[in-house]
Amino acid sequence: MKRVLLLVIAILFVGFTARSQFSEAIKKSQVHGSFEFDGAYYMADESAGIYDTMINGKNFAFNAFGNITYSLGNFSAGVRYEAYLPPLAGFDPRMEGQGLPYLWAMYTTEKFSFTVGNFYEQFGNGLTLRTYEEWMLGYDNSLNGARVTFEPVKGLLFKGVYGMQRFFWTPYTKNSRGIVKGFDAELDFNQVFGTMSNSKVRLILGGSFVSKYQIDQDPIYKLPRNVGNMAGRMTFGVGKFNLSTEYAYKINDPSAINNYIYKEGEGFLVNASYSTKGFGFYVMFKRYDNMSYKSNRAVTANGLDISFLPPNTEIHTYMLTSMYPYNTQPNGEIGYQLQLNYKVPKKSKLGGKYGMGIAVNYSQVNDIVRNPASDTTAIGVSGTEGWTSPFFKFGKRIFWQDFNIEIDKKFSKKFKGTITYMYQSYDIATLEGHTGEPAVYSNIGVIEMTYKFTSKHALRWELQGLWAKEDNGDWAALLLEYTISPHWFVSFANQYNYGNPDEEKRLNYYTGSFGYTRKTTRIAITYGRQREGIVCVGGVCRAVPASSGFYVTISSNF
Amino acid sequence: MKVLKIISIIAAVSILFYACEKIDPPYKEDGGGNGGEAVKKVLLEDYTGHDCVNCPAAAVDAEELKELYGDKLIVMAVHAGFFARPKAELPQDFRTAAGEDWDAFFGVSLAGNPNGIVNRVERSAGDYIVSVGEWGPTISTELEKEAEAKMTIHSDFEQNTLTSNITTEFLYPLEGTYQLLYCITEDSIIGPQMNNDANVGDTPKIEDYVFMHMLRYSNSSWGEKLTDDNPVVVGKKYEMEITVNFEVGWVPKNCHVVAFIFDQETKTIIQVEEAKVIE
Repeated sequence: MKRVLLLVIAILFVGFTARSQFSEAIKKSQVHGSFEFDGAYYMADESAGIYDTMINGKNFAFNAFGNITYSLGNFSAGVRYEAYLPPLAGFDPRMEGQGLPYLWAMYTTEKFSFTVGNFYEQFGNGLTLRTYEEWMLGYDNSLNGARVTFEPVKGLLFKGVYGMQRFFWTPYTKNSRGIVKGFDAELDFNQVFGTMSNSKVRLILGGSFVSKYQIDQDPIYKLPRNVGNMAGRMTFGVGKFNLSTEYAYKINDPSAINNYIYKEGEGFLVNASYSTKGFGFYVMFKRYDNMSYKSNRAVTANGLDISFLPPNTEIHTYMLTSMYPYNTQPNGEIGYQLQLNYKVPKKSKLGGKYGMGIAVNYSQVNDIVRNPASDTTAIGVSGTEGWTSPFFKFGKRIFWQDFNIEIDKKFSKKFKGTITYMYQSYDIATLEGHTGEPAVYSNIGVIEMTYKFTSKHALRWELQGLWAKEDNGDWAALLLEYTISPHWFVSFANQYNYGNPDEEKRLNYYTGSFGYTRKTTRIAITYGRQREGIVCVGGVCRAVPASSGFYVTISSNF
Repeated sequence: MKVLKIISIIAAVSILFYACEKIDPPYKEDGGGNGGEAVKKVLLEDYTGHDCVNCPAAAVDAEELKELYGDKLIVMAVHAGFFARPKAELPQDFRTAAGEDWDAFFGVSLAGNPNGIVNRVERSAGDYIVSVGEWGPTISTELEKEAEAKMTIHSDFEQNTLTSNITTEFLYPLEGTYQLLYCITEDSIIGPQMNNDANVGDTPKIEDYVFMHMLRYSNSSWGEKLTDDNPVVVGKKYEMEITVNFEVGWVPKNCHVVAFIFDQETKTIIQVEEAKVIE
């Protein structure tokens, strides 16, 4: 009886202690999360060429995710739920489905970190490896496997990754896609060497090596099962001057993207910047030659990219300046960008009471020069070396040119504005796969003004014009947005394609929105129509139909 | 010193990661394929359209595979979806009702053109699509499978009417319901085709493109029921007779009958056969 009593007491004690430790753990735990729901109700809109038969009963569509992260001391773990039932118009139909595509756990110590499950990682600029997620583009190439980082001393960091990549909802099965392994090392001299800790000279050196393994099942070509991609990088700075560069070299990697050629790949990036108070200057040069690097050589879709080739052209956000965005050409491109920022001082003649900002940007991207790899083969033929290309020579074909100047000025405490002029040439045949269509040469003007009636009430409006003879011709756009801080906004936007060569397509693409924000939660409801288009990725094109209807966005985080 | 030691260790470890395979010419396999006779035949459906700029290059790939596998591979070019629609500069309409139904069911042109389907094998839930780069390995894998049925086609073409007798013999007592789909394809149709590959022909348009293996006719979108037995009876001859009146413009000597049997539920093709309309 005594024994039983002792046992009961022991169990109660252990249980109490465990419960107490559990309660303690709960107190120390942190849970964070985010949620977004983007839904649409599509309707027929005959004036925009949208009929019930095209909607085909799929009136509802939504993309949604919920992200939860749990952490306790050195341990953290997370999960992301996603649903596309069916995906919104414009998103890849292979996204249809729902599930938990992102699960991970991580443990960190002073010098090590260990991750298992899904993770995102980037080596340098991404020329050898970058996995990332872009919700608005429906892109996710996360690695599923293991990652170890090791930082023996502050400023010296090693990373190792091993895994396979996400491809929509397709589960990994033996030989269904490649396996990725990579290693990266980075040494920050200013942190590691005490003598340099206060130096004006800054130096960081890094290097990475990534290899993918994929079985060769091709009946026609002898394909390399292991393809390595390696890169070295440097960041150097003196005072206000900074120089950063990276060079990557990839061994022969015949794939559907490069039409199964056996040429090696090269990527080179260099950028320099100088900035001081009121003045900044940035210059960049890039060159990519046969640098597509995917974990399944047969895939041309927007997925399974192991590396990332930075486009390094200015990213525009206005409706009409972003109508023709740049799209990196992994099979070959060479380009540069210059940016100058100047702040006209306050109380000067031009600057007035508040000063004035001027930003000038120019970027150009050309095709590389391609010469036959031998006397007996044409350029780019499957099963050959593809081509040879002189490193610094610009090809005649201009993929992209963008000159823009932006002036922003505050006129009073209540009134400020921005004026933008942009000239763009856009090789639509190459960048969108519209073979045979001439390049689009456009002049774009934007005026944006914001007037604050009170500290809480503000009106922002934009007037935009795009003038071009090619593609869809001229456009005009208007945006009116009224904000009642911090909770409410209402906006109206319209893009009018008044210069379309086809008179039936001279349509208004309008949207009306209102939204409510409370703390970290935002709800927005929009009614409007979107243009049709053709999306080409890696030599596969699909039509994105025009759509019209109601759209709801709900997002929150905690 | 400590740092250098660590770097050396890491460098040594990194060598383990080193995995590169430089392939030297010649880059093509000797002979390729699986070699030898195989009863198992495979259907490659090439979903295409005359406005699809990347489709001519894909058709070349299909021909290359056809050369490699000969009679074991049957190619059918299905013109369907957005890029197959006729328009002013591409007036011909090569679409068929069945092709449009299949395209909608398998979601091919929604995913983009060119893309294909190999033996209608579901690769993962709801996903049948095989990208052009995967055609070779997927066909090769399918050909390695054992044949589960034998098919023969006997055709008689008279007064513009084609009568075909298709006989199917199952080699295993397969469970399920099997349908037979009967199609007519035509070679050597001339017409304009958009093109993006200078190695294939004129860009942006080949005015006199030669369309091959084009789907012209199907007895219905999902065929006719072939078997009432479940499981099917091994050795029994399942026969079906189909009569088709040729439409104006179809050239009999360029046409083939393509017949295949598939599992009604999974849509997977278990055997396919091809025969000329006029021997």
